[in-house]
Amino acid sequence: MRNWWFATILVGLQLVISTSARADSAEQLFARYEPALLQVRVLEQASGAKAAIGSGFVIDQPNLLVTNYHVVSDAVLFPAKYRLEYLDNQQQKGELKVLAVDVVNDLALLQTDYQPEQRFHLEIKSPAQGATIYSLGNPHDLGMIVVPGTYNGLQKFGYYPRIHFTGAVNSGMSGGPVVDSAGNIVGVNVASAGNQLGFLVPVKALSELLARAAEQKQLSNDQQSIAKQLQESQAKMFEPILAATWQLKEFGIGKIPDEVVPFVRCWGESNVEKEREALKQVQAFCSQSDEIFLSNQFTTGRIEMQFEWLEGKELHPLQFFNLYQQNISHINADNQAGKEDVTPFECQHKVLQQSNQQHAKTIYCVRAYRQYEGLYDVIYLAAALDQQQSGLISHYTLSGVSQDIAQRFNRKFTEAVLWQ
Amino acid sequence: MAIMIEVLNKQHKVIERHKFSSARIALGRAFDNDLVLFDKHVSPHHAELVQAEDGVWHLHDLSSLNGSFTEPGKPIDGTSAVSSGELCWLGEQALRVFDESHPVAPAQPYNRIEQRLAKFGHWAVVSVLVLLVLLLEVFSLWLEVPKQERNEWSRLLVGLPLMLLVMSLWPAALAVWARINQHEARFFAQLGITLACVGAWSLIDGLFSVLNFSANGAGLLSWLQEGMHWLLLVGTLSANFYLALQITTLRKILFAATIGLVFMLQSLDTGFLMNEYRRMMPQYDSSLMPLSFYFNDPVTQGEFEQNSIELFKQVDEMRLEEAKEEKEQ
Repeated sequence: MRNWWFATILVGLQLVISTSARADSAEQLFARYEPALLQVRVLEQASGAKAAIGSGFVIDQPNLLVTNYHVVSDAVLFPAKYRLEYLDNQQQKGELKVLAVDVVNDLALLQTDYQPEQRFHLEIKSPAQGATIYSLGNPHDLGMIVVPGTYNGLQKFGYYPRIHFTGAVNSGMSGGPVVDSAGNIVGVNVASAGNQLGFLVPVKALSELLARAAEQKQLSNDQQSIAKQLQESQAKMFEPILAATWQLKEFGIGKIPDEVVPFVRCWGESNVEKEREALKQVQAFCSQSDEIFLSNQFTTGRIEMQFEWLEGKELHPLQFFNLYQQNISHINADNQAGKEDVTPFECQHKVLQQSNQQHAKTIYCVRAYRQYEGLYDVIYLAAALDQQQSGLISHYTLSGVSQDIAQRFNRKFTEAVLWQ
Repeated sequence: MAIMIEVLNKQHKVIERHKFSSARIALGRAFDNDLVLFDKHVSPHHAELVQAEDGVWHLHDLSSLNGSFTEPGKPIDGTSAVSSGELCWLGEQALRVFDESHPVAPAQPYNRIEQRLAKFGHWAVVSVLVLLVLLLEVFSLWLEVPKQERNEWSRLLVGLPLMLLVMSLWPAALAVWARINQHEARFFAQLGITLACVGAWSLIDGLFSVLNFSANGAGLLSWLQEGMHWLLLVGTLSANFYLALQITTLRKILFAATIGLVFMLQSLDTGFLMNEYRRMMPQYDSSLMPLSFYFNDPVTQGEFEQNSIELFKQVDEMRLEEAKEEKEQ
């Protein structure tokens, strides 16, 4: 009898270890951890109906549930209008309370009275590239599922660290855990870019948030705390940009910065080969692929730069400048924001004389964040004026920066973009 | 004593005026009448005007089909007295009868403003204005040509006569209106005034785009530009109505100002409706011109930075003010 038991356990272990038995492994993982998975629901107080859903998981620390900040953002920002609720695998409901958030890494720690027998454990060491990992969550409110996929390391060109997961992460799975075959947390589902392209918040960010929450022993889900996170994040992000010696490249009759830091990538376009076009244009855009989610209509934390060189050798200067003007008439912010989030833009227009005696018309617009003190969105555009039949437009937008960083960036930028 | 008979149209405007010295005047559609009327509801021998021995004129209905009236709605029974200056009707054909001694209104002096405005209708003035408007339009087409294909030039020029035709619709409408009201049509004068307005409008815009560029997009200028547009619109409409309408000068100007105001409020209103959306877009002046059009002093990088500090202060104040307002609510 004893031998029989022993044999069964052995077989079971072999199944877990065996990589060829992926389906079995997924099945077992799911069976084991399903009780620790919860659906997180944001309910509108007045109607009592669901306003948003996501997934969450209970970790092996007392009463703590993890999900994405973007799942619970409505309840954090408008506590009078929304409340939180969970739904477990037995269809039992219970209350949730936000303890701490990390908007930069899109994480939220929630307090719950739910006590499952099984809890998730955080694993700080990263799996090898190609290792099978399992994403868990409740896509489109269809019920908890498990999706096996591949760990592909950190996303290369992003600033905000995200694990590149090859597997389907669908909406509603946000906030769900991703575990290795032993059931240790590797990351948290956060976004998808289509076909089998998923992104996860690395577990490191989660353990840092847990450490911070334990240290502070107080709620850190208010505006001040979010503002502080944004301030710290942008200060850290701009440090290498401001410190770097910007590599310049030839662009028309001027010079412009090339890819300054790895996470701001540049693309280009031109029509110089088209003989019929009276106005030759060369464009370069540099932007960041990721941003910080603050609410459904408010994102921040981006840098974008654009350069455009125009030339109309056969055009009269008035004709050229008429077209030149049309090219600068549609600038706008790079991030999304509603009127409750930001003040209107205030703009100034000046003709600037650069240190090399060249002139440019500059447009500089600033708006302040209403809820997060000391943060601004900034738009800058300069159009060179000294040439009669050619022009250079240099333009950047920054979102969620302090006044100090905005000004330092401006100095760096205007020094870099010079006419020859 | 002789009698004057005015034949009136439906709006009671005089279309014919006749003087008779006999004491009996036959009225009707038949050609053997003294006053031959045209209206198809008038009988061939409809009525007679007869002067009694005491000098009073009487209207005699000759058993006409549609009756004769001295008071609306009450056909006269046989005969009715008509006093000088009163209306009478044969069917629906209105007539007004006057004694020879009836006083007439004093002579109107020539209106100097009206005479000056009428000069806009001189062929030389109209030609110059047409030329000016065409030149301005050709200039703006020329500015845009590089964006189009080059051989589009001819196609763009074909549009010019059509543009002039559209511009002449308004003066034509005014002329027709004046004509209906038995007034001089003065189409060319109206055309001249309208073209002058179109030309001036473009010139104002051109001037202000240069000023805007030099003034670094100062907000005051755009208000000034709006104000000048409004003045121009009211001025033009006043001139148009001066020539087309027979009402007092004050009324003409009030009428024009009201229409101008409605137009401007309309544009302000759309601006206001768009405001919510526009608030989220940076509002800036994008005018770009060669440096030789800049009549202001350029700033240095240091001055630029100093100025930009102000911007941050402004948005901070805006943020605090609106937060305060929200709290109060």
